[in-house]
Amino acid sequence: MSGISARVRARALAIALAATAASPFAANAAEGPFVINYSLPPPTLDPTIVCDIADNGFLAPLYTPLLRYETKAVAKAPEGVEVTTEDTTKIVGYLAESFTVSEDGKVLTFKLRDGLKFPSGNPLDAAAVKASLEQAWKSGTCGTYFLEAAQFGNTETIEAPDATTVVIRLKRGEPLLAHALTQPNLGIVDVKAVEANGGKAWLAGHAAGSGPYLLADYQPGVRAILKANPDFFGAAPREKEVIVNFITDNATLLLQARNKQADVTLGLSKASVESLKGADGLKIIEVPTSRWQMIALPNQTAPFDNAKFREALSYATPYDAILKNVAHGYGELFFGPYPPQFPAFNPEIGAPRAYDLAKAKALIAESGVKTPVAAEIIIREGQNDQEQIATIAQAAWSQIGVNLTIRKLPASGYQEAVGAKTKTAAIVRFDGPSVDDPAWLLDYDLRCASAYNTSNYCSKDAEALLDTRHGLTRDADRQALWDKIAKIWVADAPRIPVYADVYTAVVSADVKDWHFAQDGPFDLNAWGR
Amino acid sequence: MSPETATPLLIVDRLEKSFAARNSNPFKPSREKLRAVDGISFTVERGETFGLVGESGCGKSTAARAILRLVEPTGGRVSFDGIDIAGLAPEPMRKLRRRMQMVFQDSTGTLDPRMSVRDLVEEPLIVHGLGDAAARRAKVDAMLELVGIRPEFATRKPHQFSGGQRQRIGIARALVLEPELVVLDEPISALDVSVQAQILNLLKDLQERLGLSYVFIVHDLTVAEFFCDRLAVLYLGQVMESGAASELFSNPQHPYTVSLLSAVPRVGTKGSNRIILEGEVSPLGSGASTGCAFRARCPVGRDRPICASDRPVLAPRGTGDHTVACHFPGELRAAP
Amino acid sequence: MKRDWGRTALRRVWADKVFALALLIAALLILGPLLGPSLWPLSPLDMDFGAPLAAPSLAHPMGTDSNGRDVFARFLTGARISLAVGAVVVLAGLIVGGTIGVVAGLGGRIADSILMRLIDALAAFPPLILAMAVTVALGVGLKTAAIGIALSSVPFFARLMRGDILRIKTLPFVEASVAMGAKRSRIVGRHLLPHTTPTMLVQCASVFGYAILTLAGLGFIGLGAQIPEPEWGAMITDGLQYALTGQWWLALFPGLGVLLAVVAANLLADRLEETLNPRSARNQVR
Repeated sequence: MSGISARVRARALAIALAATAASPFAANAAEGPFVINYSLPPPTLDPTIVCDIADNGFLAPLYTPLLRYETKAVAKAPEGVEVTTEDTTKIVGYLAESFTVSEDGKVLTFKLRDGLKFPSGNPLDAAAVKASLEQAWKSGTCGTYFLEAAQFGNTETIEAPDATTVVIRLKRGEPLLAHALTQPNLGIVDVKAVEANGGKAWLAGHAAGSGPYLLADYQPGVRAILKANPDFFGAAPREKEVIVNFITDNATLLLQARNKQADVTLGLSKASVESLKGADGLKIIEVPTSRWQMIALPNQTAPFDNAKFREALSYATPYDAILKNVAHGYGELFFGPYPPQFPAFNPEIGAPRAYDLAKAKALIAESGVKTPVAAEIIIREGQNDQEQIATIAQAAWSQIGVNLTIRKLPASGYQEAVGAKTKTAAIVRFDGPSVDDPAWLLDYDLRCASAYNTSNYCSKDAEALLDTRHGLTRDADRQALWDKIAKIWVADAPRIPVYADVYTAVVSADVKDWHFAQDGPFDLNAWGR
Repeated sequence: MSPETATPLLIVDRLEKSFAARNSNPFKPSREKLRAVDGISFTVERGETFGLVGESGCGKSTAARAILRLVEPTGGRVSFDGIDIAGLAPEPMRKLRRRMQMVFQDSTGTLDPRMSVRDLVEEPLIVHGLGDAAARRAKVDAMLELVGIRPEFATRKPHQFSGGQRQRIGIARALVLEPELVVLDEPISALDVSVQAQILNLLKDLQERLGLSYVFIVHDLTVAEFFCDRLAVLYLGQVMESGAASELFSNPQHPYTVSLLSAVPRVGTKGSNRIILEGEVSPLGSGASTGCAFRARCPVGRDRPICASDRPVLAPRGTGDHTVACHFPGELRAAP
Repeated sequence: MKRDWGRTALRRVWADKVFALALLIAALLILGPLLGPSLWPLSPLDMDFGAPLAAPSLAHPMGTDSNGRDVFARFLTGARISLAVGAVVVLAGLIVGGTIGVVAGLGGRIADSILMRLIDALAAFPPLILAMAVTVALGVGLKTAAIGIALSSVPFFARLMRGDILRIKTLPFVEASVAMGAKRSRIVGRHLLPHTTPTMLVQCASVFGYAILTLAGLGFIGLGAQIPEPEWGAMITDGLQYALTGQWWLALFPGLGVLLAVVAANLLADRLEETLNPRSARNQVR
């Protein structure tokens, strides 16, 4: 490292020493704990509150939902690693041994396994499941959203007629509910244990679940130690002890990855991932996803309430430059409500938008908005890609008279901004639906009243169209609906999709199996050396 | 002494200055006081030189400062041209200073080393708003010439001059305002003997020319004899004896004055007639509140009870306005 | 007189090579930011996506960053920012701290006690924490960072000025000024303050270096200058993540900038102190 100033070297050394001191359990070959370095510490461990995919993914090892997706192999896997991902067309039982849906879709019946227990000793029976689902249902936060699959008020009852049967009755059939029930934030919570320990506040920092792993130690923002649950009903997890280190500093992540101090490194900036290509003893896994980086615009706040103004911004964003410099090619461009990996994606409607400054300036003039405009853009701490995107947008948009101030918020502050009812600033967000279904996505992202509408986008026409989806059963009809909605969306330009993400993970050569579902150690029990 | 009955320029009446003892506890202030000036009285007529004579520690410097109100008197009155100084508010006092100036013992320290000589001498004129720049410059040049500093050197800084020259500069600064009274605090003590005579002559010369009145503080008796018209001998902040210089030197009455004079080498005497006083002047806590201040060292009154119990009052003795504060004046005689 | 002083000053500088070096660095660091941005054609904000993370070359003497911006242009503008903040901090600290020091020195026991206890309270905060607290309270940004740093420098100036005033006011020429009838304002302005110049000058140089360092520290943790202002500390933070991927120039140059600026400031302070202090060996008359 010659040529680097003493200052930088000293700092790097300090970081290295601190890192080694902080993680005495560095990975050894095929024995000892399995070390995961992860850049996004979850803001809370309470399943009913967590909403973000990234934070959702961390809950998966701790809580078991009733159902899960079948796995399928990923095409472009590096040599020596078996990479699988979720097959969202096939839902099978998980905690539930089996399940059935009635003809009209209104009744879902789940058959549980007999004699299961929570780690606390409380019985994991139908009554416990009912209690857990009801807690999610009544939570008023993301848990409600998922359990009702956005059809608020659709759930009539949840019953536990006997010790191994749970029945959910709906007012109207909703195929998305089965999908929702595969998500970890609907994982079954040991409600009795939570109450015994002081309620929801305790749950934010502890686990009371039935997952393949137990939370042996948790230091928020620092480290979590997971140990295999000996009473887990399913196949025993491959790795008995897992240490997840939360490291938000990209430089440290990179250093540790290079020094093979972690078996799996998640959340590295794409630039760093690119620099590790071909590194000895490391493999890079790429999985195209239906999540994307976007700049969410606050449609209810002037001047972002002006459609032409938003359109102008969409033409003033240098997409190719961002794809090259921020994503380093690990992405796909598009412009529309759905990303290219999505089933509803139509290349004619959702084609990428050009970077055209002249057109942007003309649109600004047409819009009637007076420049210069001062606006804020919010990014999350620890997200280098977001910072770069915001910086590029700042430079690009200043050329059409829109001056951005960049505000960097820690995880909790960012969560607040994202969850605010009326958004006042642009937000760089990395997001996507937990369920790869257009209905699911539009339900939360299109409806005016939805709390999870990333841009406060409100189009009466689009929403009216969406309401008609329940009547459509044929695929061709549904696709036509999605296309119509997409066209309206593109004209309104409520937000700016920057690129669809190709997820990258860096694993050491020892890792033989790796499963992708969402960000984070999702389905951790399937990972191993 | 002038037989005219003009009002004296300066009347000092039972002036006192006490300091609280230094190491006093703020919660229990010591009642012990250092009486630097313990009730002295004298007058200075216009145009005359009045001397304050005594050894170090007798309080003459403090008295000088108290007269000019550079320290606040703690008792007595000082009256300048009929004006009671102690009663003046800060601003009138400041203006009054124009008429009463001081020449300091330390010629180096009292001249701001960063200012040129011209600036130093000009400063009093600026302070009192006298004349414009041209008029001031002329005055300064005239003053410098008067004290014997060549005006072309006026741009130099004090440290570039000799000790004697610096004292001249100090004198020029004090006189540029044409004050009526000048207090001179041992102005030649820090100078070489050869230079001392020059300065003294200059001072005398200026006094005649400008009609100044001097309060001259000195410890060297020969200088006092040469320079002063009248003088007072101080011991521990009190006047022991006062009167015309010629009278005092020819007919000293107080044992202290006699001893001081005997120590002065005179041409023709053998010098073995010195009266040696034991002990030192120590103003603090020598129990001098009762009895005579000099009693501890006085060969006359050391063992006499009245000297221990009664403080002697200044009483006339001899000719003119010669006064002595002693129970047994004239008893101690210098050897012939 | 003035000519003499000039010649002796030059001789002195030439004799002391370290002093000369410090002066040279200082001159560069002052001229550079003043003239540089106008002379150097590239802008610190222009992004060139065709050549991101380019190594130093003739076209880009300090390379480019992840967005293709010219690092040299950013370095010069960063120098400007550091310089401006340093100057503001020194001036503000000197005026506020100096005034407090004068009032405390001249105001009598009670005023002195009260003021000095306030200063003690202010000085109890570690400088970086105080600057952070101010930026958090008043909003993040360069201006508030400067205020915070200036605030933390006030105790230095106040204490020094007070000590000097206490010393100087007992000097004989002050009494002489009173005796001649000078007003207090004149005594303070013409006699007291000029004599504090040597000490305060040295302190200014020292605080200048301290201000730059603290600003860089604030930039390092994301307070201070905001994106996209090219402040040295923020540039070091951004550049660090690239240190490991081989782009050493991003953090090195701003780091060197801070290093050189602070060293030059401290060297100057040191040499000035020796030169102006009449008691130092250098100034003894041979």
